[in-house]
Amino acid sequence: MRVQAKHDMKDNKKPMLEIRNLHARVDTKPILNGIDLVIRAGEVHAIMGPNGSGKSTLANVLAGREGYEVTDGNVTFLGKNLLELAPDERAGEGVFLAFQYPVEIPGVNNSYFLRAGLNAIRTYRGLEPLDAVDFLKLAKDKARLLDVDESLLGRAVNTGFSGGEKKRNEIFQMAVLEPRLAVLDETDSGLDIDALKTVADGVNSLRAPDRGFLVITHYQRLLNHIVPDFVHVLDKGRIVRSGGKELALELEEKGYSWLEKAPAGAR
Amino acid sequence: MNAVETFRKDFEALDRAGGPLKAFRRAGWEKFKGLPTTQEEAYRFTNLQPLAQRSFALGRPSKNGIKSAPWIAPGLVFVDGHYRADLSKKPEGVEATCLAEALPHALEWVGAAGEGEPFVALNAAFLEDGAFLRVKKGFRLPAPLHLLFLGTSKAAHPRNLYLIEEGAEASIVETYLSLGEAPHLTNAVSDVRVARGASVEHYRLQLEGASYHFGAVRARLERDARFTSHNLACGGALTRNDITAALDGEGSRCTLNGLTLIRGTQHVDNYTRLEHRKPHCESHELYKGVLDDRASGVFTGRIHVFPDAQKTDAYQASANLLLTDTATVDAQPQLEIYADDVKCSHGSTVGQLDKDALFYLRSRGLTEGAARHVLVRAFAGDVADRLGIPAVRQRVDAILEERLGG
Repeated sequence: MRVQAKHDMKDNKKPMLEIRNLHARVDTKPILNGIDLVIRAGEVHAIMGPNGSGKSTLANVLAGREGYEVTDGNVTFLGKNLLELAPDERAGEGVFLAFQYPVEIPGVNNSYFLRAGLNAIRTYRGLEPLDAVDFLKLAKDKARLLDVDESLLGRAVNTGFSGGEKKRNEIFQMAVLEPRLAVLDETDSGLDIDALKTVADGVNSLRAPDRGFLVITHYQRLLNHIVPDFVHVLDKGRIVRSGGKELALELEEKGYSWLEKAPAGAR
Repeated sequence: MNAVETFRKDFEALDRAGGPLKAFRRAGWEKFKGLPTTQEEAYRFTNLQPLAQRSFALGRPSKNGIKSAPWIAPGLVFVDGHYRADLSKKPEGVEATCLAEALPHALEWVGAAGEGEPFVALNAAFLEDGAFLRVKKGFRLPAPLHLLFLGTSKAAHPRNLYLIEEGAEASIVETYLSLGEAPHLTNAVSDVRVARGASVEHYRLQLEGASYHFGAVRARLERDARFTSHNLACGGALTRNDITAALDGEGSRCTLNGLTLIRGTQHVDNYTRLEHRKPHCESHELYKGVLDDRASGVFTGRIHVFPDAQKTDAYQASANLLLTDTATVDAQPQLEIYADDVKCSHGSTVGQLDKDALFYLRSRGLTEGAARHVLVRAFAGDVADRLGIPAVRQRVDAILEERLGG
């Protein structure tokens, strides 16, 4: 038993996500200029940085959004070349992006949407799809766990949702889809402190030894609630500093202005 | 021979045969001035040249080899415009029969062609048969009346006449299908009289194959009457529908729903006219189109508010979804308002699938095909949801499934 446990521990230390020298551009404008980042299962990494530093671009490149062109470097996820996969295949492999701006889809029921997603992912993994009854039970359990109003299930996807409801819906989807790697793109933006806390509690309840998180945020306050293992500072498309959770506090104190003063890579 | 020459030859033969309908037919033929061209405003986007060069002989009553009809539900069956008693099942307890049987005494209700109705005029020139329904005062039709129009390779000009008397209610489903692969011509006219306080739901399902299809629906509403038209256009090579409702009694209400689902090189032209003739009437119109491949669509929504028609409330919306860069739509509202105390609104959109929504769905695991499917269904959903007859709804759902590839 002990040997087995040790073996698991070792496996968990294998990189889940490996980003090497990632360069990407939007239209003709280079945004990412050589990102290196390794995330292991069970770890929570925070990426902070000023506006325009490339935080959301990184999230979108990982999810496979059209219009983001990778010009150099590579991304390996659980041993596979992530950049070769279509967005739905990435979801199937276990990548989940919580959108900064969740999309409103009028006419598509939230519950239907989630079941379609879950079953597509299950099919991708060679599992039987869930029928409507089993799905509803699962969805209701997750809603209860996250303290999400069940009525959200019956509404059209994000349509007419408040900012807080939209973000909560993202976390709810994450809970149902159970990704291996969750990328949270400025999930705190536009939330008041109560909504922020609810969303953070949801994320914390989903922390697990076999799940990695990449939490992208402009402000430190989210990290009071979702305490990261590592904090990285992104500037001009590169990680200019990495450290523990205390780095976030330092940033809170000093702001981002110090980035201007020191040349990249000097720290 | 071209199309018009063939029409002339067939009209002359019918004319020579004489009979009590002769004068009516002649009046129709005289009003028919040939096929309209794109020089005419109302046909600006529908080029009938491909039809002009073809020749479709007039459909005659026959007993050709069909043994059973491809039902949505049992009802009256017409082949090439002529009633087929052997394939039909008449509903009990209601006056539903073929027009040939109701003529000539029903002639007084058969409407002549108005201005700008060349195909109604042509239909009048070939008046012979169609469906005839009369729902007596206060009677409620217990089940929808299903009418099935099958085309082989001929020209069919069915004339349908629905008389819904005071306070009566009826649902009518017209389904148009092709038998086999051959092109054919359908030129159907349905006249609907909705008497005081009566209520009618009218379904028109155009599911033909390689046809040229002209469909006119002309409803006249008396005081407090209600009329709902569901116009589904999926079939045909070229389809032109003229849906007209005259709100001719105070407090009458009309709803026009349209759904066009086309692909390949199909063309559908929906021309709707709402005539608000009396005060306190409401109309609500929603037309949607989903166009794939190189399909082309036209929507014209005319709303005419007469000087008397104060307190008119008219709403019109058309929305079109183009699934490719080669599909096209021309949509135009035409409002003529001659009363001052009215509420009229209209809106028209043409767009493609929302890229952000597609990515959102795909990021949750849906393949591109499945994501497109979800979005198209959502787009068509609000019109499809109004199809109140389960059998019709199922048929439309099946078409959506098939069109969207599962």
